[in-house]
Amino acid sequence: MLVTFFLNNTEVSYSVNPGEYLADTLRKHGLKSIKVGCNESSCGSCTLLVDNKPMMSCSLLTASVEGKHITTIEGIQEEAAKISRCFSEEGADQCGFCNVGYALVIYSLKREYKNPTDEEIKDYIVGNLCRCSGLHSQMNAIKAYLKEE
Amino acid sequence: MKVNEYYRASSLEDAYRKLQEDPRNVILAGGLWIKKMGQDVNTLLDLSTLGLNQISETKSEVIIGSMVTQRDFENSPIVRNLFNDSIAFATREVMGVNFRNIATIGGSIMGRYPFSDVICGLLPYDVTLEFYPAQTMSLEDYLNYRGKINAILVAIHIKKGNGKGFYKKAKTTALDFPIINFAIAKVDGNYRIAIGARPMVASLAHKAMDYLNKEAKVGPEQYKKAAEMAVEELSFLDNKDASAEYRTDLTKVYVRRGLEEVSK
Amino acid sequence: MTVDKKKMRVVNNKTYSVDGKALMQGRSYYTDDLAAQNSLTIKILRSPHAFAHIKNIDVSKAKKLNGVELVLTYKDVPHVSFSRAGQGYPEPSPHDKFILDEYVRYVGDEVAMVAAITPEIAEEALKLIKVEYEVLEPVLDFEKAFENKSVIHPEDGICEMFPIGFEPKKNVAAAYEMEVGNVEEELKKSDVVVEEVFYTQAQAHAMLETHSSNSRLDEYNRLVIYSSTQTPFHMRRIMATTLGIPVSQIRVIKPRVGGGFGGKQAFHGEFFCALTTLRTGKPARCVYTREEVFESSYTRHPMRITMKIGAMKDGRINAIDCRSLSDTGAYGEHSLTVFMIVGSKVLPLYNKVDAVRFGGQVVYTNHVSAGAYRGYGAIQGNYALEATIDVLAEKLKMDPKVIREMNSMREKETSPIFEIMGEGTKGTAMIMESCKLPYCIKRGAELIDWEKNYPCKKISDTKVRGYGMAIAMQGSGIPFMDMGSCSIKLNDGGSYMVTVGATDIGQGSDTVISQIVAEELGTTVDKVLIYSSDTDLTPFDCGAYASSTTYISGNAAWKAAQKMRKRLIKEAAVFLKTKEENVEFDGKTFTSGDKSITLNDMSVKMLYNNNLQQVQVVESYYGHVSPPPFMAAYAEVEVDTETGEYEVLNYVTVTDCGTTINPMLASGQVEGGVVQGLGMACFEDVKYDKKGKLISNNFLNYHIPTHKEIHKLTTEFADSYEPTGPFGAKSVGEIGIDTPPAVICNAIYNATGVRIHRLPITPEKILKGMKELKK
Repeated sequence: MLVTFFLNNTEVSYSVNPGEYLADTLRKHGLKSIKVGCNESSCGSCTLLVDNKPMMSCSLLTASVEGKHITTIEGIQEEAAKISRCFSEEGADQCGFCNVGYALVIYSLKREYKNPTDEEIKDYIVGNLCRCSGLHSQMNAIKAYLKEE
Repeated sequence: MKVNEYYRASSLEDAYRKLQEDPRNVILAGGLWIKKMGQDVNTLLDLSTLGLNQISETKSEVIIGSMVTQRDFENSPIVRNLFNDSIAFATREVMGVNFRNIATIGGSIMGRYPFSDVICGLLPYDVTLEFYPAQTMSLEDYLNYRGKINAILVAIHIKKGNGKGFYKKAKTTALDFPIINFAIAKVDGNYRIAIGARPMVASLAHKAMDYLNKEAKVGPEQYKKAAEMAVEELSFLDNKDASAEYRTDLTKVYVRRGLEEVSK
Repeated sequence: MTVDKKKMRVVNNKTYSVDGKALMQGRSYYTDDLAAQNSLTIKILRSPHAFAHIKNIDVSKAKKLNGVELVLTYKDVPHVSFSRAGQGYPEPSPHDKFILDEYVRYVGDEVAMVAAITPEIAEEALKLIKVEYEVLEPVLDFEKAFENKSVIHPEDGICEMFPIGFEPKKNVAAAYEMEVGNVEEELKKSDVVVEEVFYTQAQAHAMLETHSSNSRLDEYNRLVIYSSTQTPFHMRRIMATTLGIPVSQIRVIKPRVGGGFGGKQAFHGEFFCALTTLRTGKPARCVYTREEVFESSYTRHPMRITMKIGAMKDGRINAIDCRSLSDTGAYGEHSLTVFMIVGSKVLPLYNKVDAVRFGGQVVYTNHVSAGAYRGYGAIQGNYALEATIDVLAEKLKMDPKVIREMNSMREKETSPIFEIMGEGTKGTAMIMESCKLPYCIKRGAELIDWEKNYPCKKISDTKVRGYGMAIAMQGSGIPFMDMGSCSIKLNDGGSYMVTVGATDIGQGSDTVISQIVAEELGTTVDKVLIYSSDTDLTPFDCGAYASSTTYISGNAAWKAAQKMRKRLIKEAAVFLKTKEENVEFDGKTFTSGDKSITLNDMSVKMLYNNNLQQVQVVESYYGHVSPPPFMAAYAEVEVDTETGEYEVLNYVTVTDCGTTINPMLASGQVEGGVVQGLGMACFEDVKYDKKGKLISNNFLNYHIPTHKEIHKLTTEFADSYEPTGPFGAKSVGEIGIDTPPAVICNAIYNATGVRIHRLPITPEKILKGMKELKK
């Protein structure tokens, strides 16, 4: 079946199987920035934004995003650079595999909340696993990014 | 998972007709669990264009469309207004935001999952399920109903009232299913106690509730007794996550604490 | 050579990781991102039985399926035993694995392989393979494995490379015994003897990128393997030997790796990629599912450790006796080396003993194979030793901090264990040239306010906070065995191309090596271009394991940079028409009296105008010692006394890793290690069903720490300088993981009076213990 949606504001149409998931579709079409860590909505690495809301693309049927706006890391390059700077300042980046998913979630958190509490931040990002960093430094990095104008 | 067809229903009638055509036709809610089950499907029925993602209210109740996502549910001012914002306690404990933006309230309920935070969290309130074709059923009746419901969940009706709730999920980490979960509420003076993941699907502890609701004076002694009654009347089993003994130990503590909390 | 830290401008200074920004922006340089278009997808049929013999296997239907290009069973692959362990040569692990075998030894073991044009067809083909198994009685309890009537490796053709105690007919993969002094005698002389038994679980690495590999033939028909590996050079060697092709015909490239932690020291899928490409001529890819990572890659070695300590009334420890039993699962990867570290990187902490003994066996079972995992052996041994030290302290009515201060290693001291025990072989004697452990203990105590808080304080009727501590040590590479090398080339424009075999798996070695080179050459990290881990293009390195990269590869890079500096001055002397000793170089300009030339000018001239030549240097380094980093760790836990639930409110570490080349990355290494250690201590539980199938095979059933469990980490470093390290550095990759099981065990005990002897320390176990105390 043919599915049409907006990928970082560009209209795209892909021929997909009805049971195909968005992470697979996008990777198949060369968008390798989507990282699949568990393929069962438990790790958050494959997160992207659908109509500005973070969702795990490994468990989102491609057919279900017909007409919607998908934002991947390619759509928020400048923000990703800012987030990366905050991560670097705190020594929070290591292998980088989870970082793309994190960047999209953190970016979305900043749009959604003005001055989130630590609890609200953790609630927002808890679906994104990271096995390298120790997490504490990530929290500090996220708070620094949220404070940026 | 193999899927032969993805079908966007044009109306509830259309969806219902299609659902009857083949036992392997399945309604797509968020789609998260369908993937985990990995079963082959003939037609996936998408209800997303039927306006079932709305939250509305009347004087006496709040109506949640079955396709409302867990995230929209917990953020809704209408829902947050209910019982001092205690009704969404449970949904906020489900995975992360990137999961709850996909998962729907209807999908969580229809699955009757033993580990469900949503089901346990809603059970102490007066909740009615509205199906198509026209049929209604209380959430508790639905959980006790044996067999498959051949109908489409349209909305969840939550009766308004005064009071507050308590929710506790005993868990290993934040991304874990509950080892056991407790939802306790005091609504319009009535105590309600739901316990899930024992490891069976959530149930109300009726004897404990009746005891409390009949007692003239309710205080720490009664809370303790009610907790012990809940242990008596519900069954608790061992599984890989916890022993029955630990589950009952937690029940004694958290039912008491929950009752204390909602009585404040 | 000692360098004044105050004069360092790049090393020991804030430096962003060289790849952090690009990776955050989504640049696609992980293994599967680089698979060739139209690669065949490889899927593996796995055993449903814990132990079985394949009587018949029929792949005819699978082969006929349209889109299937290759199906392999044990009949179709070389029958050459090897070890997946990814170690140097000769390996200390037994050669007990075949690419495919007629025996399957755990649920998840490889039965057959399919390569097809799409993942869906490959999956479909797996279902069409008919296997007839003779199901054998599995060994699922490692305490019953020794001389069990079920022999897990009955086959011929398996061997040890040198004596490691390999006795497969008895289910023994390796064994080891050592004794210094007379332990029995010393224990008799002791005023107090304590003995405790501990069990540790098969922790999973749970790196976010699953094991991935792909392959293709290049324009010379050579085999090119991309792999998310920690050991590309070992992989090339082992693949060549096992497949019977020359090393010269194989190129292994390690792209960005999404975490390894030891799990990617091994091979998972690479052989299947290689065979598929060699036999079909087509590119192939193999990406493990998350379930496969849990069920069919590696775990930490589960162990039973009995720790006996004898001491005098004044607190002086005079003997330690440690016996251990280790479960290596179905295959013996790292069986001996992990086992020996239980002794060698743990027991020297208390070096003032009169006698010390260590020994036991590593047995086969029908569980998922155990292998390398960050802190291997050390975390198990540390839990047993450091929890027992607390038991001893209580018996002597002493503060556990004081007993540690009295007995632990100090600078300029040594332990006889260093000379006796190495990695599967004899060790290397060494003096602790840098050991700030006393400072670490003192500073950590200040940070947690030990004097005021130990052992616990009551917060409310149901909440109590407990405080616990432990100390730890590691090593820095394996002396006379681990080798790293580095080449530096001068580019026009005055930048340097650095190529290293060192394997960046996310820990940041590319950044650290760039800093070392930049520091020595007086330049900035942006002028240092680094390319690592490509067996064709970069010089050799043993790989990322044994806490070796900063120390071994870092030293190689430092040596190469020193050589480059000398060489540049030599060439500048030609341009400045003077002697080398008259030339000064500040990183940008060469000066001699009133004459000068910039590096930029010289580098361009040398390629296009005069003194024409490519300036390039190469250097290698191997360790003569393995200087241990040291750590003291403290935790504050808050326990709910009615439910046993607890939170780790603060985890304090003070580490002596010598100079922190990159303070932020060093802190990331410690904290990342601590949190993995906390996972093992608190909730990472491994569950099998009765038939030996792993139940905890995904992130819903195997719980790694999330943001909600991690509260405060307090991470500090001691001011320390290791004279043999690059700019004074020691290792820091593993030390962080070692302490949490003991620290949490001790803190929970101090809060509740319950000592948990079996990891993980769950609320259920604590509550059960508290109920028993009340009885």
